[in-house]
Amino acid sequence: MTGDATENPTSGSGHGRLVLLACPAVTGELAEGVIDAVDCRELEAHLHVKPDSLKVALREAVAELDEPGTTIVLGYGLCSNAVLGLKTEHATLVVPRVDDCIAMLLGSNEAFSREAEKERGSYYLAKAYLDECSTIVSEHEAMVEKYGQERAERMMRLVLKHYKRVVLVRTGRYDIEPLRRRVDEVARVYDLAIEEVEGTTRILDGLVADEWGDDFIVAPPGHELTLRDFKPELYKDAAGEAAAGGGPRGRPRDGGPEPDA
Amino acid sequence: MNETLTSALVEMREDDVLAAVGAAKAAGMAATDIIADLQAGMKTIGDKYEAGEYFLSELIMSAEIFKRALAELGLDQSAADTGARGTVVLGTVHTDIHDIGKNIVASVLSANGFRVVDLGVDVPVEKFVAAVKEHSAQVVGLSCLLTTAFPAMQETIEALAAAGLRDKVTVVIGGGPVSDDLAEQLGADGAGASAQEAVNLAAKAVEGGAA
Repeated sequence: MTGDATENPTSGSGHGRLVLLACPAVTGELAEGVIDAVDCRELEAHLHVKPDSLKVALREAVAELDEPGTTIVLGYGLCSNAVLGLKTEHATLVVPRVDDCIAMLLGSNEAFSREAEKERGSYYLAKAYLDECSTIVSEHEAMVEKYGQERAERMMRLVLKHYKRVVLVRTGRYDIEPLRRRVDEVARVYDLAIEEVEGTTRILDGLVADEWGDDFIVAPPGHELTLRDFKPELYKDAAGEAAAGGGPRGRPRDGGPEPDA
Repeated sequence: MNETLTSALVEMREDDVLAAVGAAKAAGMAATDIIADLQAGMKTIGDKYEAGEYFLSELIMSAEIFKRALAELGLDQSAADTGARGTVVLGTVHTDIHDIGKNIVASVLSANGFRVVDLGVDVPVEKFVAAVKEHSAQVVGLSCLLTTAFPAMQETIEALAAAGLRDKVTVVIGGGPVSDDLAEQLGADGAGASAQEAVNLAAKAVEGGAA
């Protein structure tokens, strides 16, 4: 398929081969069957706590996949700015316009903001995140083993000082009860409420099905991902009208001045 | 280098840390040298966290022990009220509750002679403005871990400007996702990636003239 570009009705850019470059915390939320049908490259899940290392790993992986006729779709959000600066020479790069995987699974940055407004002290979990990443559940267990129950609890209370609840994101793809059971002990020990919220895999499904609407940044070869792509609202002064309208929708704004050198 | 002190901190032995600090102080060791040993321990812990060897709770616990060690030396925030090099108002901006880095910065600024007014987390815009006025702060440190908090950082800086305070204070942003580019975009005077950079920026602001 490489080099045999086909027209994409959404983005207007052609793509032949689609490769998903993603975090395991994201791929784990894809429906069974979908992941098998996609050419998928995963990076380490632990990288999300080390944005600089994630940035390097992403650059290397993108450079490796950067061929004409290829579309690289990223199963990442802004992820502490790790995706900023990514650029291809030949391939098209597509990335959901969200801050992170939680916003992705809640459906948008706005959905995340609405949920966060209910309670700032929220610790969000979804199944793949719990499976793949270091969380308060795995950390509690490791600390108890290393320092004993009493000291571990004292240390974990410092971590969880501002947290009031654990939010389980329910995408409908799996039974949430086993998740609740895995979180139950930590929630009880540290006085956290457990709440479920409605999530969605809409962005994730759209990403691999090349349905790239407003929720996606579609960067053609040569377009470097900048903060402006993700947060046009911060750029009120320059190109004010575009920013006021929410910035580019589903397509890159090539030809416009880039804010970052 | 006081290995006993540094390794006690790295191994989270709080009582041993406080005892070693007390002993060093009694032996006439300069506070700045004791702090340097503690900061060396903090650096090792930070590196271990980066390498995935230490958990977040260990990072926070070490910051807590560091804070207590400073109090033992009489260098906690309240003790630095008089004769300070300058006043820094510090807080995690509205919409974010992450404060490990901010707390470490508060401790290190105090240890370096600054008076720190720590407003806590999820700090409303108005609270920053009121604190800068009340304490005649020369520096404001805005912290966030979440990129979702960038707009709140911007709003806080705009509110300082609207209150006529922007020219009177140096605004520094800190936290995992901040950068010099972001500082420029949001209208801040600088960005710091570490506690030491926060000290350098604050020193430059109060001793090198406000930016």
